[in-house]
This record gives sequence, structure tokens and C-alpha cells, in this order.
Amino acid sequence: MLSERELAFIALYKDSYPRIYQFVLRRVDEAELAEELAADVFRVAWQKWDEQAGLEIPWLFSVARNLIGNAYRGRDRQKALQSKLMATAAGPFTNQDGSTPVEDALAALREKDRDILQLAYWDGLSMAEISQVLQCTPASAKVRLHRARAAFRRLMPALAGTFEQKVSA
Amino acid sequence: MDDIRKLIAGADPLGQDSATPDPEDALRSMLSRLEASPDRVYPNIPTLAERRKRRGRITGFAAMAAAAATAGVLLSLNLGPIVAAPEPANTSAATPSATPRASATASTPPEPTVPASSSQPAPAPSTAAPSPAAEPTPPAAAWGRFSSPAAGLSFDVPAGWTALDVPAGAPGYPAAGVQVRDGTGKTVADLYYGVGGGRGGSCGPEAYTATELDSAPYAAAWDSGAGVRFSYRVLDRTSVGGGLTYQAGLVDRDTGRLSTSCLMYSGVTAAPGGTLTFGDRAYNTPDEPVFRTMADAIAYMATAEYRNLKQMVLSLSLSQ
Repeated sequence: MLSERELAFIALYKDSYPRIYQFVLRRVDEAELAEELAADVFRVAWQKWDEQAGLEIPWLFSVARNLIGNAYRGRDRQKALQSKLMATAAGPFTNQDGSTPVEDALAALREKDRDILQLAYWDGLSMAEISQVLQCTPASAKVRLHRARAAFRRLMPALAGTFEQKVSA
Repeated sequence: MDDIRKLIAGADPLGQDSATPDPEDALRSMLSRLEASPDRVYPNIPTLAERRKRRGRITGFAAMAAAAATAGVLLSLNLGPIVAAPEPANTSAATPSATPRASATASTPPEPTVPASSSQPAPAPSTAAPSPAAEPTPPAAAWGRFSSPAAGLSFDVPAGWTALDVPAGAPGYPAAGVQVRDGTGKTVADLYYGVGGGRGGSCGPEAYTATELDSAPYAAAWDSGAGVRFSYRVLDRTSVGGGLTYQAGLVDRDTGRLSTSCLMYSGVTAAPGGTLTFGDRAYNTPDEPVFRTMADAIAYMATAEYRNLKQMVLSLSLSQ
């Protein structure tokens, strides 16, 4: 007979595992490692979760971010990851190094700007969820997303120009 | 869908048809290995309750600042930006080099009562005033020394009290946090040291009189004219039935300035590592304890809890 806590945890797991797994996979690009880290997220949840506090999926995302950070602590490893992500995401409009202007723009952004754009447009988090993941108010998250979009917009024309030059060369 | 969203979503490395392991299989796999890899679970990740409390603090600051903008009664001390950055991998923490182990417990703690709700003003406490009778101070030998090399600080901890590192700060806003609890598990002091710690607030039209009941100089080489001191101040809200709220901790010339307002802050804005707060509380909170009368507030100074708190705060040493 499962306890209330176990039942609640199983429900949480089934509901949120795909999102957590995909969140991790986007950032490590290695299915096996993503499965391990996603499992770690829920191990932490099982150990740290107190029933009185209720369930919050953004908390799981935060734990996932921490674990990914631990897995990719080194700068070189992060650079390698970034390169790998860019290489695998190469589409029809790719530069000579295999990246796309969008990928280049994302890579050129400050980490905090890239982070919030990915949370919003890759992971599909709501503004309320983003604010919880980033530990700020929803209003602050909204401002940060606005700034990140502006930074992205500024970078895109320049990168698009580079792309055109490469194509025409 | 706007252009930027479309562009970035289009760069999603997973694409539309990514395969995700079946949650039930993943759960079975996880449970089968739950005991196998405990070292992969990081002990310092805050619980949901801790995280919620922290978020409440941030939201509280932001709400107060927003209210200030509209009310035009800004009491901002501008100690730095409100923490609004991604949560880091908070997996490193200082370890106390010495934890008090003596079995003696602090005598009767504070007599102030805690309001049941956050409504303002707080209801007048119904408990009797604290006994003004002086309580014995534990012998100095019973105290321990808490040290956090990572945070670069240490302070004395009375017998029966425990100090532990707690998560603080965020990427771009590094900070250390320490929580001190008495023998009953009640939090008697909090320390925050690092970048950030925004303060702002508004209130009104009520204005209450702040009174400093005790003050002691804090001798520190790093205090270059900021006037850092220990201060015990009360905010008298008895005129509206709210009793007297209080703060006992480190202040500097700005935060410790007595004014007629409805908010109080305690902290040091220009410590070597940024903002420093160390005391029973650094700002007004909805659940803060209140004294019924000024006599109660004065009598509190005779309690062991107060003396321990004061001695502990004044023993703080920063190494950076």
C-alpha cells in the first residue's frame, strides 16, 4: 500500500518527467546523461520535497539547472557543449562552421539573456514559472525577457550580414 | 507567434519529434537505483519550503519598492540590486568549525508575541510583560565559535544555540547566509553577507516613533567611518494597537538612523564583501514579534536571549 506521499510523488513524476527530461536533454545533448540527470532531479525531489510546501514544477527545473551546472562545471566543457549543440542544430541556413545565425546570436548573448530566452521559447515555461526558476518576481522576469529579446534582436542583423557575406563569397 | 519566438524555437535542438523515455520505465529505473547513488544527490539544495521563504523575501522587497513608487514615500536605503538572477548550483557551503555542544539551554526566550496574521497593524499582544529579573549568563567557556571559511566570517555562539550555513545569493550576487537557532529550534538570528540585499519600502500615512533602547560599538578594522554598531530599536505602534516591533542587530549610520516612519531596517551597507546583516531580523516582516508595552521591550534586555544575541553579534569577525 503506497503512502499519500508516494502517490503524490508518482503523480508528480508522471506529469513532469517528460518536461524535465527534455529540459535536461536540450542542455546536455546526450540522451544517456540526460536520463541520469533527470533521475537525479527526482531523487533530489524525493529527498527534499516536503508535503506541506506542495508541488512546484519550477522547483524541479531549478534542481535540474543545478545538476546540469554540476555536470558541466568546467568552462571548457561548457564551450564544448555549446559547440556540440550548435553543430547538432545545424539546419538549411547554416554558416560555414555549421552553425546558424540564430545559434550564433544565442551563443553571443550573455548567459542570463540566453537562459531566459531558452526557458521561454525552448522549454515553454510560463512567465510565472520562469520567475520561480530564476528566483525573481514575475515582473522582473518579464523585464529580463524583454531585455533578452532586445539583445537578441540587436545581434541578429549583424549575424545575418555575416551569413550573407559568407554565402556570396 | 512573433519572429523572435519563432527563430529561437526553431533552434531548439530537440526539434518536434524527440523521443522521451516512458515516465513509468524511468521511474522504475530510478527507484531500483535509489540507494545506489546517494552521492549524486547534493545535500545543500534548499527544500521547497526554504525556497518559498526566500522567494517571499524577494517578493516582499519588490512589493515594498513598488508600493513606494506609487505612494511617494520612499524609504529606500539602496543597499544594492534586488536579487533577480538565476539560481546557481548551490552545492558548496561552509562548514562550521565549531558547533556549540554544551547542553545548557537558553533561559526563557523572548516574551514578544507573534501576530497570527500579516494584517497591519499587528494586534496588541495579550501576554504579560516579560520578567525584568536578570537571568544568569552562561559561562564564557560554554560558548563555541562558528566559523565559515568560505564566507570569511566567524562569531561566537552561546551554549544551546546552533549556527548553520544556509543558501544565499545568486549568480552575479554571491552571498553567504547563516541561520542561528536556539535550543528549541527557533530562529534567533540571521546573517546575510554578500552582494545584493536590496532594501526599499514604503508605508503610510501612519508614522511611528523609533527608539533606540540599547547600543554598543562594533569595533572592526574594516569600518571606515560607517559607524557600525549593535543597536536594539523598537518601533512604537501602540497608538494603533500594534504594540512595539523591534530589531536587534548590526546597523550603520544610515540604517540605524532613528526616524518617524513605519519601517525599520538593520544592516551594514559597506562591509568589505558587500551588504552585511546580522541580527534577529533585518527588516519588518509580517510575522515579526511585538511587545505589548515599552516596559516589556525594556525588560527584554534583561533576558538571556537578548544578552546572548548581543554578545554573539558583537563577536562577529570578518576576514575579507
